[in-house]
Amino acid sequence: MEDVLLIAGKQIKSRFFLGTGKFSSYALMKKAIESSSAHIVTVALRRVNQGAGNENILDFIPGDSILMPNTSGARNADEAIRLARLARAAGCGDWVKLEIINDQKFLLPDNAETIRATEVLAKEGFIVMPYCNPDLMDARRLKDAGAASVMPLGSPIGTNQGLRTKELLFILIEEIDLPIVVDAGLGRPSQAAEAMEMGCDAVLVNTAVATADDPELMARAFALAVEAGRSAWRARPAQIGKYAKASSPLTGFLR
Amino acid sequence: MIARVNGQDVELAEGLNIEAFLLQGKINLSTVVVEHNAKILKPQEWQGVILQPNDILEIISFVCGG
Repeated sequence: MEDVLLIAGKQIKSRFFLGTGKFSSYALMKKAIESSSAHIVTVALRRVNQGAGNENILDFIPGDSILMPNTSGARNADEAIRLARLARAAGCGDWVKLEIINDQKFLLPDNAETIRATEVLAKEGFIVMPYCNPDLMDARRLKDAGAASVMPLGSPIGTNQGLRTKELLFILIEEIDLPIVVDAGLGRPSQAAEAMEMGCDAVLVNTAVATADDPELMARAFALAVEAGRSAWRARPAQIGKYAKASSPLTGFLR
Repeated sequence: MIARVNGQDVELAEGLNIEAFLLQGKINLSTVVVEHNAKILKPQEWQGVILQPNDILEIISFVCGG
């Protein structure tokens, strides 16, 4: 049976999404995108510095990528809506990673403002991918507001702590009929595999790839881990037991 | 005259349109979005908007980000 990830009716070719922040150069970022075969790639929006180098990030992102601008920098729904509209005006499609943060120490998302912005942007035809805290009621509100997926954090952005929210993610996987994408906090391919094994639909990674010594190789490692974890989930793992069960027959030789 | 560009006060010549202003700042026209007094302009509108004193201009482009 074919295993297809559909978001807003579009077939996504890889369950590994890659962020483009913190790479030491655009050339290196490009190599990481290519080695991971990521299909969805995030970017941010910022003010242009006059006279600054005009190297364009879009020249380094493969043409068949789905560009997903984020609203980082937005502290409330209104700022996020404004950023999303600017991103769309830049001519790169309707996808938006909705990210609203007003806590600078842990960079935790503001679910209430995120729900409010989702409602407005979904009505305007955006494909809204909200970064959120993994709360069941809020995930339901995001779905009702028109979100195309739910992107809960595994742990705070850039911490590499992995799936600290695991029990809450389980609940979202069980209860929310939208793709669940773990966004933020995954620091090792094994953690990405763990997310996929438990039934998440995709993961979004940035820091762990961009700040590895060899980002190109780490991007590949994450992509393989995501594929392995997904296959394991589809294969339905056997129960974990307390006592040993022999793998070889125990009879028929010395007894 | 003074206009506010990307959060900073900037001294501008009278009668300057937005496209001319961008070119003067050596900004790559194909990579930016312009918001003029809280309204997003299409690139084909840039030439027709003459900057006025106290206008607020935001010039935005894509950068790296997670």
